[in-house]
Amino acid sequence: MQCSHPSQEDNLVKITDNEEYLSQLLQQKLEITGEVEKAIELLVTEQGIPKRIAESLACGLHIFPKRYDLNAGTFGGMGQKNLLRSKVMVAGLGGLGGHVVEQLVRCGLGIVVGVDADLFDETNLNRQLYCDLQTIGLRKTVATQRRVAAINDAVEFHPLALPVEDLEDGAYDGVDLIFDCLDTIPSRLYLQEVGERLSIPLIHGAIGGWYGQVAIVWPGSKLLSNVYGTRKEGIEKVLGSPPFTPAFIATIMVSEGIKLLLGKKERENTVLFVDLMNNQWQYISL
Amino acid sequence: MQLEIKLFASLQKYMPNVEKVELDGNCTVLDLLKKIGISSSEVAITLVNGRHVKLEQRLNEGETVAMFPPIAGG
Repeated sequence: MQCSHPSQEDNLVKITDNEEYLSQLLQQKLEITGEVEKAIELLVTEQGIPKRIAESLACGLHIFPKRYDLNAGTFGGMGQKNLLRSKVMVAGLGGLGGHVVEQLVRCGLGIVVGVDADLFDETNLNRQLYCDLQTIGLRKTVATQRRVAAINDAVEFHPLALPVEDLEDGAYDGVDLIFDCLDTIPSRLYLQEVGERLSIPLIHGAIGGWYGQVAIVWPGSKLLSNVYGTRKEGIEKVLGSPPFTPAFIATIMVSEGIKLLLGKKERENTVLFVDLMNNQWQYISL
Repeated sequence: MQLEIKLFASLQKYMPNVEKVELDGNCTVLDLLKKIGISSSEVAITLVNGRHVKLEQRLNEGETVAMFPPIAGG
């Protein structure tokens, strides 16, 4: 796992300027080693660039590290490259957030900022992907960081063990997209305000019982204000949160987010409402 | 006047199927909620003929009203 710091940001500017040169170096190393993973390691060591950037150069040449082989047909070389160069925030690392992070990391999403102030407890065991008997009492950010490192060592995970209301604007630097995986209406509305102020779209997801919803919240749309109005809590207070609903809704959130990052999604003001009891799927235009 | 009502998710406990409801003229969505026995805090989104409206929206003969509850869990 690598951590981001100012020198890496400087590095990225140099990489953009020298992309053709670095790609040529990568191809030379590939000819010598015969393996894309070894060529990437050599480039990382010699040039001091983040592994995700070296991987992105390879994907840009349509040479895929094996871990992205089965992404390649779906995202394409340029798509995988763009994902490795992207940065997202996942606000809330619980039922939705754990599944969202898991899928983003396997997609090869370059930088994931994970925000959650909580520790895992036994009530999380039924649905939260990174909660198990060994992680009870552990910070969700710490457990998530370990899991990310175990899956993909090119993805940079930046843990922020704070409530979203306590984040400074610097936490959002370079963030292309925010996944709203929070669990209260006031926090979600707060995040909507931040997205509006900093011009960052949100992928909103929420669940309760057999039901869930997903929406893209464009800056200025006030979509969540229209959805929630003055409501303070949702049906999850009565219906709870079973294991399958967050996994399902998180999957839609990630596919919506990936489509946005790949430029495959048009601007819209709709909420997708999902009813897993009756297997109904409803678009609501607001 | 007669309205067609579609309730979604947890609201279906009040009316599991699409039903027609008779209401006096000059009524709003709030009056409809009262008639069915739903508290306004249980409803997040109301659509009349597919258009998003506020609870104070006046209703007209033959309109279709759909309602969705607030969902906020993570």
